[in-house]
Amino acid sequence: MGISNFICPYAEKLGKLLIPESFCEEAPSATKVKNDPSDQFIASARHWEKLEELRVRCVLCPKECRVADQERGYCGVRENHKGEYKTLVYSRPCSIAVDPIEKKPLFHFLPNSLALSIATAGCNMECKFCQNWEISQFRPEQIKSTYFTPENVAEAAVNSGSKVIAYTYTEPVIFYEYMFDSAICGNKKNIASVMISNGYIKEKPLRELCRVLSGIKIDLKAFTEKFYKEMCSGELKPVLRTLEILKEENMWFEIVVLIVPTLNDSVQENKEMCQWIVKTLGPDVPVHFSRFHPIYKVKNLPPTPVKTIETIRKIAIDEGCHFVYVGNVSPSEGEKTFCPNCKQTLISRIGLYIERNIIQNGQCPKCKTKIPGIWTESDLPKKQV
Amino acid sequence: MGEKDKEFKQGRREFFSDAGQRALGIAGAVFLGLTATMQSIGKEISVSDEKSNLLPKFAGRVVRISDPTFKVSGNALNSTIIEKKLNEALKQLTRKNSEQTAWGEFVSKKDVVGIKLNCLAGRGLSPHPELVSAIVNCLKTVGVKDDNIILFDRTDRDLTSAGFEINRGSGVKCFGNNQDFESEPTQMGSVGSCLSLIFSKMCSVIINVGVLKDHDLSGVSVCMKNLFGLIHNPNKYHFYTCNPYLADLVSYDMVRKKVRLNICDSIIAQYHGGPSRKTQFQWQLGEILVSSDIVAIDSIGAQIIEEKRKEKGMRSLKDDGREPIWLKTSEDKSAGIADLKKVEVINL
Repeated sequence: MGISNFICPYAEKLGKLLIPESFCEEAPSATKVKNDPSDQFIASARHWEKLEELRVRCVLCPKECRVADQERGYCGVRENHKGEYKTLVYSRPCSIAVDPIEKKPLFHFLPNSLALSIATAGCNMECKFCQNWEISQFRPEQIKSTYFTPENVAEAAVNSGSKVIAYTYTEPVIFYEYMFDSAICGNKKNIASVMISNGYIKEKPLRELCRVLSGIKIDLKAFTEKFYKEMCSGELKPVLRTLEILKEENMWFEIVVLIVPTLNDSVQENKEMCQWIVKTLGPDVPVHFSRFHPIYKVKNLPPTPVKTIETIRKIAIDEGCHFVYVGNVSPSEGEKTFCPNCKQTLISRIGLYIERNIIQNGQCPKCKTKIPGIWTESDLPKKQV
Repeated sequence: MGEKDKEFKQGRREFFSDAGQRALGIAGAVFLGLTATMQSIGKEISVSDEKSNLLPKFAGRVVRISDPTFKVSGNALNSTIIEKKLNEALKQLTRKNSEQTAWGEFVSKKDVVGIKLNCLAGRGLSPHPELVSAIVNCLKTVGVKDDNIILFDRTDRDLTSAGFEINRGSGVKCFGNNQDFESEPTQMGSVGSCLSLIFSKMCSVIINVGVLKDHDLSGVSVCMKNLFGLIHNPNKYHFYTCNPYLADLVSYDMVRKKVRLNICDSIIAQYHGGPSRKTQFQWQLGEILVSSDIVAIDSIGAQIIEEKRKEKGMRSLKDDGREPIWLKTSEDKSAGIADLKKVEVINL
């Protein structure tokens, strides 16, 4: 079945999964498996070091897993094969869909465009409230996937009318090699790539990634190490460093904070977060505060009250953030883009859809203030091909 | 995280009957120096009574089987000899006179028995098919039907790499967890995982068949580590030398209840370089360890490996930064006996 046969008919059904049943991997019954079908997804990993006695150390993310022969790292998708570290998910997406770019959410990046969205299994954290835990917290052999090369990814983006390829749903850092090569293929076809990530990545691979990506959305889980450790099995400090690097690299990025009642919704914590953002990253970084819904291992808490989200949004604005949005709350003033100078409504949105966009040449039409963002394809920086 | 890739759907909640704790036999309680008292209405249960009720049957008892045929390299093992030795081991373990009643302490003919293998390292450091065949024969002798015996591990591939043939049809079955896990995670202390359906739904009894080897992160892999194959995400639980994760897993009610017997294939053992096979660090120990106490069998296994490492002039596991402290944690949770002074070893 050709790529266009199963991508194009579904392109109009935004957000639907596109993996056809016939692609699922199932071990044959009552036979000896000599060459496992999963072998086609194995490729050399990048960003690792050899250690003694066939061990390796992964240096892709701050966990820096020390991995013995035949073992995997924490992410579950990188494995040591006799002293050579391999990725098990190259060309192995478990999710392919076409979404509006606003769903990522990226509000200042080619508004109203479609994003060919792709993910493999795995993650280098374990957020207890993960919406996509059924793919992020599983190993690749445990869920259905398909063979879809970086070239296929770029072609599918073209065929579906997408201007963007988004690496998303799970944690793209852990399918680094696949993302990187797909981005290059996309760049060759003038399709931009964006990463939707927890930001838990080491500096060197991140800077290399900045050569091929055009935009990044970072999930800033909270502003305390305690939350990162207890709720996400991660760390705050490396994520803050990632944000600083993105600024240094002139990468377009936006921040999302999922507000979980009683855990990271305090006024003080969010005030400190916004102060840090404004001081370190600048007031022009769009920040999205999103409502939590009970899921996975956090089913004992209620959904975030809308009032909480609105209060935190106000705190962010008071602390100097120019572009503050709300997620999973609609309709809301927090879905709109306002000119930070004259307060003119520039973009009206309802949910994922843009009602009205009056930004012209990247400026407010009323007071001519430059509005930061990638508004048209001509705003896209040149990237590695 | 961020966006959802599909609509949120309410997962099925699986409610497992809490079979409660398994009573400690009087004989075992006396051996441990605990006072096993009969519970009566209104009687306050002491902490030691509570903990002793959680311990497995025949806690602290490990049988070490050896045979000259186990040490002859290059020759196939004799399954009949192994079967005979296993039956004897069960009788010694349970202090029963017949094989039927001995095995009857762990399985009945109505049970569906899962035999959890550890095939990660492939042929040469996985349970010998001859041993597994002997276990299967023992089960059939006590009335367990062919169709109700399932050999399993994480994936089909792991099993075939160790020399087992996949069978999903009639007779003794053999297949991996593959993609078959519960739809919702179960919280087991610090471990939150989706359980293998083979374990949670298909089998009423598990016989846990591990191998004796060291492990780069947990220190040793004997029988407890083999149970990481019951959960979907073991890769999340290897930090801190797998402590307290291993202890929490084996302390979970369903694991306590179903994992009734542990057999460690120590015919070939490995003292360094695990979990994968490193022939230069293997030796023919020529033994099979048997116990219903998963902590005790692991403690003995760890001791054997430490002694070999010392003999070879290698650093102890503790000095190597991977002391299996989960053994003590498991004992604290009454999953078994880790203290070697309290473990009774029976040599056959």
